[in-house]
Order: sequence, then structure tokens, then C-alpha cells
Amino acid sequence: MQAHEAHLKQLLLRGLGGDNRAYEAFLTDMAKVLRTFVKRQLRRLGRSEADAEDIVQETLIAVHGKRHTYDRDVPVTAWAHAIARYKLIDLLRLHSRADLVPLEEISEMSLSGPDVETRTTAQKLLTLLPVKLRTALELTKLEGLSVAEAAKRSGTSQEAIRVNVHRGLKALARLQT
Amino acid sequence: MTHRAIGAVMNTDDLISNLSGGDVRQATSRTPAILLFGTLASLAIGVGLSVMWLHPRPDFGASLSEPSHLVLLKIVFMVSIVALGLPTLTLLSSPGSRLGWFTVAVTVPFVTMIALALHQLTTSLPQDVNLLAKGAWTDCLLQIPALAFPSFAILTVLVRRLAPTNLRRTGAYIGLLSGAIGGVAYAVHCHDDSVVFVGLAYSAAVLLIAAVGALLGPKLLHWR
Repeated sequence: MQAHEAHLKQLLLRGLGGDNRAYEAFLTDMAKVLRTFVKRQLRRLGRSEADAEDIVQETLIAVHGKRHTYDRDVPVTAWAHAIARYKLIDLLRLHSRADLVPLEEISEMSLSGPDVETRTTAQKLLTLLPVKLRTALELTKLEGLSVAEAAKRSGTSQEAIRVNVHRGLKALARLQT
Repeated sequence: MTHRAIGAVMNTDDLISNLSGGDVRQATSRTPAILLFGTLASLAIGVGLSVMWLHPRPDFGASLSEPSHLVLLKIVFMVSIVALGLPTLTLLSSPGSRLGWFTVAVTVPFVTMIALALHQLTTSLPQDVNLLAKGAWTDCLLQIPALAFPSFAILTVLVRRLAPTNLRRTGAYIGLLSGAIGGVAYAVHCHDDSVVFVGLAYSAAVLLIAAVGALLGPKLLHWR
């Protein structure tokens, strides 16, 4: 754990200084630490580990989005674990709420098989998504804009577009299964 | 948009290269400065609002140097809550920080002032205690929250952009801080200088706002 800490801190600080390679290595190694942590927490709570990767991904997005809150005096692992715990509770709560939503409409959508034009299916499915996610997907995937162009067009940051595309695709995949 | 494309993006490695693709530069350890700035700005706005809306008591300047120092005591009481609460709010907004013993320091001004007030109340003559019946109580309990409102909003917006992970507790501290800022602002106008009044009415107003903060924290501070 000690070795992890020094290594991760060095990568993160280099990343925040503008070194993208170091930052990518930081997120990659942090993902491993988080995977172990999240699985252990889920086991402790008596939950299935099926959602572990989802929680790891949401935590990585949060670690990235909240990197301005990293305090050099706090261990990087303690910082990331606190964020992971927050996300874990948040997502478990969200999932238990989502289970209550009737799924008829969604399963009807998924009946459209491969014989239906993919593009139309995608557009239909998109209407089921929250506006932010839908806009990000429409601009980048259907209109084929770059992340920078899509950010400019929708008046948000590039970061928001990246995150919303990721969340949107995940939500779509969930709808199709 | 095929299944394969979706599967690929769901991969954690792809997410990572996505996140690290942009400009990742970022200054660190700025939370204390952000919240200090927010607190000072809130104080300025609170006092400004009090001066414009309630008008300062005419003898405010002179009352500060009065030998009994009761007006000064009001302000010191409220400022000490702000000063002792701010470090904890900073820790609550930085994930993974240890809160430590300092968290309880903010209770010291309350305990001291409430004890002084109760002592005065039990040892003074009934005709002096009549002071309590004045309309000042309702004024205090309504106007401190009103003066605290801008601070509450400013601190909530700032803290939301940081990363609080215990939302109820963080909300309570935002309430404490903004309540005490409201108290400082109210002290500029407030005519009642008795220890009983300051110890009980001011404490009640600030603790009420802290309770509201704890209640609303999970809703207002929730971030994704």
C-alpha cells in the first residue's frame, strides 16, 4: 500500500503538471486499486460484485472531474477511496431506485432487431436518454462532430462531452440488453 | 452504432484514454483559499445587506468601545464560530481528509455563551429578565436567517464544486458558518446587548440554520 501511494502520487502530480502519459498511467493504476477496494466494499455490504466495474468507472470519472480537490497533504489513495465510497453509495441507491421504474417501454424498443435500420433504432433509443447524454451522442456519433466541435455547439466543456458520451453509450447498451 | 462499438467504449481502458486525452493540467490544494474567499465575500455581503436593509444602530461605533464590551462580545462570539468552523468545512470538502479533534472546537463558543446566559438568567432579578419579552427575539430569529441566506447560497455553490462526501455534515457546517455570518451582520443593527439575549437568541438562530443545512445538505450538495 505504501509503495502504491508514493507511485500513484508521483504519477498524479506529473499528470496535473501537464504530462498526459503520466496521467493515463495514474488512472490505469488507480483503476486497479479501486477495483480491489470496490469489490471488497461490495462484499462487505453483502452486494453482488456485478456492478463493481460500473462503480470503478464512475469513480474514475469523478476522480478526473474533481482532481482540483486533491490536496497534496492527503494520501492519494485515501482521497480516491473516499470518492469511491461516495460513488458506491450513490450508485447502489440509484440502482435500487431504477429497479422500480417499469421497463415495458424500454423492452419494446429492444425488440427492433438487426433488420431494422440501425440508425433509426439508435435515434429511437436516444429519445429514452436524458437530454445531456442524448445531445452529446447525437453531436459526436450521429453528426460526426469532434469532441471540441460538439462542446462548442452545445455550450459545454469538452470534458462534459467525453463523460456524457461514455455515460450515454453505457445507458444505450443497458437498454439494448 | 453497433453493439461492438458500445462494448468497446464500455471498456475501462478506453474510458481512461478518453479522460486523459484532453488538457489535464490542474492546480492542487486550492480548497482552503476558495472557501476563505467565499467566507470573506459572504461576510462583506451580509454586513452590506444589514447596513442597507436594517440600518446600523446609531451608536454602533461608540458601543464597540463601551466598557462592558457587550457589543464586541456579540461579534467575537459570531466571528469565533466562523473561524473555528471554516477549517472543518474545508476538510469536509476535501475527500479523504481526517477531521480530527478540531471538529469539536466550534462547540466551545456555544457552550460558553449559553452557560453565561443561563448563569445570568438564574442569578438576576425577575424585573431584569423581563428583557426577554421584547420583540427583539422574533426579530433576531427571523433576521439572522434572512441575513444568512446569501452566505448559505454562496457557500453551497462553492462547496458543491468541490467534493464533499458526507453531505449531511457538510450541510450542517455550511449552516453554522452562514448563520454566524448572518449573526455578525445582525449585530451591526441589534439593540439588545444583554448576555442572556446574545447567548440564547443568537445561538438559537445559528443552530436553527445549521439544522436546516443538515436537512438540505444531501439534496443541495449532491454532485455527480
